[in-house]
Amino acid sequence: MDRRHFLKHLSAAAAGGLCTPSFHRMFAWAQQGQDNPHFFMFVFAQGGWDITQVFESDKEGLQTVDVPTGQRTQFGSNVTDTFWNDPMGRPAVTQFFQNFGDRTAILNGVFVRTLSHDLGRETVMTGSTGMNKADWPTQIAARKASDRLLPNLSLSGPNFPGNLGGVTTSGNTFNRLLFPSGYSPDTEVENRMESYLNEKLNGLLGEAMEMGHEGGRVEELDRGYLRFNEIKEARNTLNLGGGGGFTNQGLSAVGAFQNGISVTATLRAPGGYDTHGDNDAQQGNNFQNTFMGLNQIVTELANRPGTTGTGSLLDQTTVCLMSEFGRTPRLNGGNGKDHWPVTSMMFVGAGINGGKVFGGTDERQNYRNVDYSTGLPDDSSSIELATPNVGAALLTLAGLDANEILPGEPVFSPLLDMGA
Amino acid sequence: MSSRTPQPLGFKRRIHLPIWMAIVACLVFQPVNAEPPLSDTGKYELLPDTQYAVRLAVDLLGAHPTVGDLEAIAGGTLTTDELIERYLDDERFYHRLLWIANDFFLTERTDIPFFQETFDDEMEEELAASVGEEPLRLFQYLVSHDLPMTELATAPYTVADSTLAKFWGIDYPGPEGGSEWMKCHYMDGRPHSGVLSMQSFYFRYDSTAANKQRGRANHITRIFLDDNHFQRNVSLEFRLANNRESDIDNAVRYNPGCLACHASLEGIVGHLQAVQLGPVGESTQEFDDFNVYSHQGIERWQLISERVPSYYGRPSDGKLTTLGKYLANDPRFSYTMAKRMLAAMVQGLVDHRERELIVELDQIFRDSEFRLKDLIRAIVKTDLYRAIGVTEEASEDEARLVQPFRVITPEQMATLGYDLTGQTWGSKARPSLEYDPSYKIPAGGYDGIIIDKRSHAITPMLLLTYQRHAEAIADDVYDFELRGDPPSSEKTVFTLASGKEDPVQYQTLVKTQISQMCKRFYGQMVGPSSVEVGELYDLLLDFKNDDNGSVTRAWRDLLSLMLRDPRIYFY
Repeated sequence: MDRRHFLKHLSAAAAGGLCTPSFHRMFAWAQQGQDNPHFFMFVFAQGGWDITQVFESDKEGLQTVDVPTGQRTQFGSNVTDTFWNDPMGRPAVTQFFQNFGDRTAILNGVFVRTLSHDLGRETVMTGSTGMNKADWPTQIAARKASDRLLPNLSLSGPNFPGNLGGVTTSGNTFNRLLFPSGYSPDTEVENRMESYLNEKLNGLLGEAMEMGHEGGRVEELDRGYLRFNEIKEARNTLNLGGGGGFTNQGLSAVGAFQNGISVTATLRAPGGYDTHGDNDAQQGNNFQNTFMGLNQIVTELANRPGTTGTGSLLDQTTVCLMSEFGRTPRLNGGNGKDHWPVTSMMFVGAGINGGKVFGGTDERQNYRNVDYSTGLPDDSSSIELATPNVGAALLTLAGLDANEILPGEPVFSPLLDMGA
Repeated sequence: MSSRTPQPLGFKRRIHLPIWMAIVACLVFQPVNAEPPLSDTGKYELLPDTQYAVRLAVDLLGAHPTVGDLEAIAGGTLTTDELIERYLDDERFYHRLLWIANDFFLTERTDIPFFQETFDDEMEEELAASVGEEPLRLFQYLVSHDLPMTELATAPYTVADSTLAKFWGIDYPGPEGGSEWMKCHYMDGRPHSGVLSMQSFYFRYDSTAANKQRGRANHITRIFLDDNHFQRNVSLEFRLANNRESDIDNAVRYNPGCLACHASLEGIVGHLQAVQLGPVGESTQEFDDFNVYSHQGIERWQLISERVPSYYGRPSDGKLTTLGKYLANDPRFSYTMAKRMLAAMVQGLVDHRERELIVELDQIFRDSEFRLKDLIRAIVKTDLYRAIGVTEEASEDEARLVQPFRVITPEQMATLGYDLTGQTWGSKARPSLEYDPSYKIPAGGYDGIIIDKRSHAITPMLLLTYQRHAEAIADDVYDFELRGDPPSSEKTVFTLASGKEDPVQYQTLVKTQISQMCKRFYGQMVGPSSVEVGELYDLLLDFKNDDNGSVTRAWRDLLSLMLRDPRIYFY
């Protein structure tokens, strides 16, 4: 990139008020169907969920696993594709599977290798611990959509930016920064300021280039200011809404996808899942609230038109439900369940091989190895289902080379329906 | 790698040396910092002196040089070496050290997630600050008292303010309610060993019955030795038959994949058995359970686990003091400190490619008997630190970390804003850009829990955050200095003009004030009749028109503009 390129950007920003051509182009792509992004919404159940409440439906009657009150219901074409639910205690679960079961896949027996909340969150979201790796939403946003205004929205829940922190925006902070309550210059004054500051920026860029710096930091500076100006220009369309809570945040993310602002978002599911006491009541309530919100969010995705001109936004969006680990098979003395290094995950929407349950655990809730061609438990297989394998599948679904990011990790491809 | 001559006594600056002897010594002996490593290499394009002074002030003080110092440097009556010495003795340098230390201790926090029964909700923020800072304050104490940094792991005392002392049970020698951090001791009879015996450290890094202190052991090796077991390249090939505790115990003893980490980790774990697990819960009982040092812990661990404490294969009696001595004498301790300080000062991911430079810095650090000021002094005098470009002499590796500018961190921006205006965004005691993760993180900071590393990326969020910071402190200056009527001694910005005079009638005075602000804000020696000052003066008049003739509001606009200048963010 040469200096003329910078000057072009800067003069466009200065002369055109702040409205640069690329800003309009970005929105035009999204609105006219020339863009075909894949969106990902990550919903994280913080604390470690009890997989017997919904996902692991085959533990009824075992002496080795305490299962809550409920019933087993088939939702896929195979008789083993079932979920567990209590129609009285958590009816939203049944409602969700009735509405979207054919687009939903459950992964059981996912090995997370840790009993620590911090490390569990990190390994589920990044595939490893202590490596300072970016999480799945950040990886996808940085590699596929760094030109978006707010590529990755971290509305709540965990966030591991690794060395790619520049693409992540915290929704609540963003609104507070974009719409300050105190003094802020009025438009006339702000425009004068921007013209002056762009001149100074130009000087800084020019000096850096004279010192032989091209690309790298200099380009980053240019790009940072360009997007900064675009965000301020688009201020009123970027209001993510001040409403808190899971459902409102989910709907904000849906809006950000449709407007072409973001491609990934992370939300925290309602409730605390770390139920060392009174497990069944608390977990049941949390699952009810989570699935109630999820019903609304996925329904909204299904009802909104996609950005491709055909289909719905759900045809372009994958919703991923995760938790840092599972809970022990048996209840403890306080009717709670403690930490367990095996968990379940659920995926809904675009690119997902729906109506299926993959993986599994044994009668003591240990993970079982899986056949990577079918995704089903297979004790003769030597391959387990672990978080990097799920991550590799999601990266593949996003159109990335998973092997480049997770070298040597098998992709759990049965989860994917790439023809969809 | 070049070898270094043993250094004479003079530079170690023992505080008990009479001042006249120190002066003579400095005159007679060549100090260690006269020939810092890799200076005058001819491989780098260097910042001019005044801009170098700005970089030094931002990095060491989180502030800018005074106009007087800049003029003296420009006039040749003050050297940057003299400026460095002054900065290393400045109170603001000691405040900067807290954040430099927190980059790897990661203990600073804004809340106390446990033991709600034991304290009044209203004091949570104050308590969180004290608990979070105990290791950081020891770091600061060692530097300010010219003590070896090895005492981080060996100090036979801790440091506390009255809040921390009351919470953990420490014999604070200061007055009740005292905020000064002072040398003192835990009252439960525990052997002190720097950070290793701090209850606050184990509050931040918790453990459970299942984890058996392994996480804590790893944090100790990560912090002191840069040995993060999680980053070891291991191949795991195992499944637990029943996920019983005995299976895990067997695996960490005999499974080759597990032993890649646990062979060293378990020995460190053995030293921590006098420290309680937890914290858990909210109750006072749980607080009391956690806040106990068990002298029998070591024996209990050996009985239960049938294993003995060790330090990377070397024998140990399992006492924290023994662990501390091992850490302090480990060559990786000083190397890690040299590497971390270099990385902090050059804002780069320092790795094996800088090994030669780190080894030189490590040698200086050890020659000075682990005095941090000597290490930092050596770093900021390197060509690499001062560089803004490279010459053809530089190799690819030598050019790797050279950037055209550094990006100011949120903590630096908070203190710089205060230095330039006397105002802070948020509370004066805990400014938003230093302590509030919701503002720090968008500006590249971290919360130490979920995000544990800085980002120096230039993002729209960073620019937006700093714009709001500029507006907030400009508005505070407007309220305090322009709408109020403080005595001139309390003014920070309007030191020449009042900000209320008519800018046309008092054009010379107003331009002189703007010139002064340019020098302070950007380190640029521009006069009242310069083009730059002229442009800003014209903008002031434009803003006055935009603000319906209000001069003070026009100044507020101009101030917020000047505080948003890229020359403040990028230094």
